Amino acid sequence: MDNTADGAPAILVSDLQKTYRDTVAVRGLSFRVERGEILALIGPNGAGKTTTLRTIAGIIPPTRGTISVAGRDLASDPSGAKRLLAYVPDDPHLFDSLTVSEHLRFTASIYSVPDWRARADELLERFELSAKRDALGSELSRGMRQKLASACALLHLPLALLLDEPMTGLDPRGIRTMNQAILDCAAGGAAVIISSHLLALVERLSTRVLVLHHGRELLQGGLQEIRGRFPELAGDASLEEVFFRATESAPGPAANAAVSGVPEGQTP
Amino acid sequence: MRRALWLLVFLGLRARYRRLLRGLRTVRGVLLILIGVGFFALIALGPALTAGMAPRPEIPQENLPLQRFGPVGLLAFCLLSVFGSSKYRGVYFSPAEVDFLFPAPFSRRELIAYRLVTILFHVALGALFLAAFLFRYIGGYWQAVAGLFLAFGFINLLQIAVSLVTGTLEEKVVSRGRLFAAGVLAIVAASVFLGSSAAVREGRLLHEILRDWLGSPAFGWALLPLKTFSEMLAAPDLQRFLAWGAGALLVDLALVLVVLRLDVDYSEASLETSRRVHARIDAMKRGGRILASSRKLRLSLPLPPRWGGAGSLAWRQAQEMVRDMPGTFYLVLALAVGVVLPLFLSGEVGDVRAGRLLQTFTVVTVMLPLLLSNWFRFDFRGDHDRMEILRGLPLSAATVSLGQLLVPTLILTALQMLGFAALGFLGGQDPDEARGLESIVRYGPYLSLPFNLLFVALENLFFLLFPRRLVATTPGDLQNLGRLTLLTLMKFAVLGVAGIAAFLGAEGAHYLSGGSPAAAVAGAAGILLLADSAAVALVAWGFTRFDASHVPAD
Repeated sequence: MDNTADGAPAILVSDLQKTYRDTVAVRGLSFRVERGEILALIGPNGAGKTTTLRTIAGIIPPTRGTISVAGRDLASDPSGAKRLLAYVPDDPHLFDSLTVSEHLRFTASIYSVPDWRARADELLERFELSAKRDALGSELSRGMRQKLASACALLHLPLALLLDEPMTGLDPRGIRTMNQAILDCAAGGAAVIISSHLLALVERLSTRVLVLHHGRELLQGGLQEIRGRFPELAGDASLEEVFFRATESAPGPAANAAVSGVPEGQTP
Repeated sequence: MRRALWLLVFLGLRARYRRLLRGLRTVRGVLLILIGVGFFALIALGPALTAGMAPRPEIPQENLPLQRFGPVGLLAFCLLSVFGSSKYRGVYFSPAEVDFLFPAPFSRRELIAYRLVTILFHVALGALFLAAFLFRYIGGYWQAVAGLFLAFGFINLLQIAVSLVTGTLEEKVVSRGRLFAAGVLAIVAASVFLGSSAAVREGRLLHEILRDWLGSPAFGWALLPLKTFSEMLAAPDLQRFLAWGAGALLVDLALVLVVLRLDVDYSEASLETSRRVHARIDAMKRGGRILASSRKLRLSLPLPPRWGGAGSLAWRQAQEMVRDMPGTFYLVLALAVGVVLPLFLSGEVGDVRAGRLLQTFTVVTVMLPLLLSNWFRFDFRGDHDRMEILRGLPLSAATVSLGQLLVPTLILTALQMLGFAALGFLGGQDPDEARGLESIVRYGPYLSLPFNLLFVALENLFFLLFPRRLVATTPGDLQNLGRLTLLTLMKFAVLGVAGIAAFLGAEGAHYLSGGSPAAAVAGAAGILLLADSAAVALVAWGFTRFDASHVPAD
């Protein structure tokens, strides 16, 4: 986590736009996430959350705009930027025929993690996968796949962690473990972006919130700050109340002309 | 390519064979592998082992069918492969590869190189396995391995190259690129049509024109890159093998270079392809159709009479079949082209009515249920994940079974009837060639329906008793080969018993009626109908004992 440009934000997104043929999934999005910050990306289905995360992860190229990770531009130095990133998709797919420990071995090899076995053991222990280290990817339940994908993501101590719906499929203990892992990661100096529909949970975790609606930024800031945009709400209004007030009063897709959301996890 | 990607290749290969070894932990697994090995030895190694006893078929120095038709066949295969995958742009990566490799610090070229390595590994395994079946007819085992490896490698590389080039063109000149391609195709089609029309007016037969065109020097030069593969496989001596082999290797290397040099940003197209392919594989694992088409026809069939619920179930299956009609159409077209075209062009037959074509047509017509049954899984086999719904219906097991079996039985019968009608027509054109086919054409249609019902019922019975999800297997998966061999033997044993009973019934009726052929057919049909009743009852029994929660997943 040390090989970063001095003073550069961990994640910097400027004027990001992503278009799928005639559909604009994300339009003119700009934000930054500093080290130690947890940014919650929230919005209704089709708001552009997954597209935003996938673009930052370098999985799909942006149509316009720039993304940099600790000063490394994702377009001109993709390998350098990706080396500092980790991304956990909303429905992680594993290699069916590889065992749990082989997934970690492979991930360690990708990021050249020194002394990876000790770190892998620690993560397996943390995510309660120790007993499953010889199980095949195809033998794991949805929740266990989520845990293994998260363990793989945390193995190389990323500077920027991108999590798309990380709590899906987890049991209460798994959710608690995941929360703690996210908090520890941020405390260790990583920037975290988390996309989730579990607003109460996100409210507890995040330091800042970015509300997306039809591919556009609707609100951005700390919870207190965005709460202040709606004086009619009580001072201790929950994120859920703020979210509904913001999205209900926002212009609909018709007002956004060509802007229209894409179902999460899909390209049109 | 980076070390991590080599590690993934190694882990992937090791994992595939670890799965095979896991099969050896049970007695059943060991038995299946033994059967697989036995079958493999019988088919592939048997002729080699008896080579000392029987003389090896002489391979002529020149003019092997492989040399004559290999390049055209390879061209057709490449075109089919490219057009068949035209909706899958970019390079296919499995969902796990997308999740692990795309966000990782690999360059596009490294990922393409990884893809090429994995493909070539599989091609090599396939070539090693397939060569064991073919080497007797080619020249030698290692010659067959090398030739098949380079030829299959070429097909895969071409598909990737075309996909990447198409992606680039689409990105840059979406509509203009398509217009240009359509324009070129239209000009080629018009030239061929005009040339052929002129030649036909001069009194020449169409297949002669086509043969001459395929034999022309211009076409020969155009096909030279493809010719290297067939010549290499057919080379009678080491010198020619090495010369043509070097040419084939150069063609493959040129394609590798093209693929690596293109450096197209394929990530988005690959993501979409990965999603589509995964959805299709998922649907197949759930028991969906092999032919599932993305362009679903939105035709609605009228609801038939209820028939105690069987009609409603059959209607549901028929509706799905109609919606998959484009896939069905392509299959029938491919079958027709695959059977008829090579004979049409072979030069060994004079015209369409020639004997060999008629014989092939007869065999295809009679064997149609066996050839196509697996493609029309509009029955229990396609309802893996709907068994609990079927079990919950307020219908008897026999009714559900009958409703489920009706559609594939009727579609196979309809196709077979078309075949009989075509045979009748072709036989009528040339009675000399049709001699011996008369009884098949005349009496076959009466036995078609009861035989197809029996066959479909057996397929379903074995599926219900030994369910298995449809999955791609590794070349050399002897356990799977053993399982398939055993099931096929069991099915054919039952069919054989039914066939003997039907024959005896026919003979008995023939004797009792004083030599009436109609009575013989009625006797055979009667026995088959009895077998149908028993088979449907067994399917109903299999359905009631089917445990939907315990379908082995590979």
